[in-house]
Amino acid sequence: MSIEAINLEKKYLTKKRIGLISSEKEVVEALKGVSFEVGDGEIVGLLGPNGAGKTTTVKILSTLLIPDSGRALVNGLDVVKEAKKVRKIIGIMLTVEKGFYGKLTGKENLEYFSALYGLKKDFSRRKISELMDLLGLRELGAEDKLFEEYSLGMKARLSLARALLKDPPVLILDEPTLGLDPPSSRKIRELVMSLAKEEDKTVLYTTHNMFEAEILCDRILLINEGEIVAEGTPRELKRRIPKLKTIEIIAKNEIRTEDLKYEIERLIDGRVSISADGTIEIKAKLKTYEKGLSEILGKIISLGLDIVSVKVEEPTLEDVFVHFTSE
Amino acid sequence: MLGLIRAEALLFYAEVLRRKSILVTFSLFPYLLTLLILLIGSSAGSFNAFESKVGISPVPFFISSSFVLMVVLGVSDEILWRPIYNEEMGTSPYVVSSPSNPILRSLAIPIPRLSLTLVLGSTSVLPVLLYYFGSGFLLESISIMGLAALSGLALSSLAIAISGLATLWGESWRIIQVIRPLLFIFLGVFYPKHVMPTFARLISSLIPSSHTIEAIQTVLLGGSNILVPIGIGVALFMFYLPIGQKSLSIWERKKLRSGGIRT
Repeated sequence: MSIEAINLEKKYLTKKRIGLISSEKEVVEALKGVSFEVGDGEIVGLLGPNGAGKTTTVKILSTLLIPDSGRALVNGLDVVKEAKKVRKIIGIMLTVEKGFYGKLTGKENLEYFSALYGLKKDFSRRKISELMDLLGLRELGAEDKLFEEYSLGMKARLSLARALLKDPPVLILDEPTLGLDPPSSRKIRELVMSLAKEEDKTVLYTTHNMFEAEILCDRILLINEGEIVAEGTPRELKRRIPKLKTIEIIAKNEIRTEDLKYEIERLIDGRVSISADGTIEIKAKLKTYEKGLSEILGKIISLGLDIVSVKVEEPTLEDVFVHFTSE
Repeated sequence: MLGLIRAEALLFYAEVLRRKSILVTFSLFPYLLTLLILLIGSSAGSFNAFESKVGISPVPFFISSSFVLMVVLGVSDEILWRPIYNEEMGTSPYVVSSPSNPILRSLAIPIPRLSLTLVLGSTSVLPVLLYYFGSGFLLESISIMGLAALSGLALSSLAIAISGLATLWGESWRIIQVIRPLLFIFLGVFYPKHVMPTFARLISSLIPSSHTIEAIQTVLLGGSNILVPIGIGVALFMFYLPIGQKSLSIWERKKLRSGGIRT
């Protein structure tokens, strides 16, 4: 297992202002026993509303926060007791818009951080050049441009480049596409995908973008109020919510139209509309995909209708997110 | 360590060369400060009065002192402000989570600045001292510049110790701003240690650079007994090194516990 979180708990002490001078201490429970695992070469999405505990989890795994209790292991190394070793094998990307020195160029920033990471000069020079190509920064003319002149898309690419400098087996990416335009988001997603699938890197990926989570992640962890509330592949999660799937059937019947609407509605729980040319549009709810679908189709065929098309709308990941996170 | 110095040199020289105002300020600082002191001084006394009391003309004395002050304050500024600067830039989490040794990282910070100030010394200290004392004073002038660099380095471990503890408080920049004028007084650069009241002399003696500055003043006055103050300065630097390390470790531990590393 590349990443293991075992019963992580974290409380923050915050100050609540009362009037001009006084303040009251308040305890915020950020994590209430979070446990999960991420396998080698797996992309796991950590999804949750703002304040759910995503960043706290990411910070603990990045050795930037010490949990109150519980353990977190990265490639078998304890993130608290063996933080120095963990820091050598993880690549982190925490914010997109900041995190570099404005008066250094992209390439110089990477040189600065590779020295901080203790990388050999030859290795880092070669690696930086490779990353500039891989992330398309050279192509964008960003290599020798000052960081303060970068667009958000360039900043995100540079941030991912830094995460990859050490060639780490584990990547922890906190909302890497936040605020990016579609081409930049796609570039980041494609890279993350190829890093996991071709180079067997393990990726923990937080995002608010449901589409991104669905197409990118092998598994999803849904976190809410400091607890993992659901876990599974996007498909598994969708199956777990009680929301009914919608089926849309277009059928034809040129002979009978009278009483047909009533007959169909009597057989299935749905809405039927028949146009003048005999096209019948049926919208119905499915309780279970396999059984419900054949049942409805069977009933329609039994009425002597010709089925032209069938479209099944599944619940989206957003439905799953809303279901598990809004109580 | 060499890699860290190389990285810091990259950052420092990019900042200085790409922000021309910093370079201009650096070059003018010793002259401007000397001018200010001479103007204030001449309103209260005369050049001759100063010379008869201190044993040296005020111009070479203050140009050297201003240069030394610039070097030492430069080191303390670099070290004390860096955690705040990193927070502003958002680089803090990446620096803290790097596998490099925090004390070596901090010690590497002021070295590039020292290299630049040495170059700048040749535009202020060197020409003024050679003008006043002739070419025979070249070796002494160079050693004054070298001792100024040593004064800066000597302060680094104490600055690290203060930096770690200061940044534990909220709005640490206020504390850092107080340290600057205190250093101004207790370094003994304009206000020599031997004329300070006992309590001030005691505090001054705890600052490593105050001893190397004493050595500079000895050279300026034509003396040669500089090894003892240099030795004390270096010994104090070594003394503060483990304290600095402990201070950084306390800082990191506290930040990592409270979630104070902002992302």
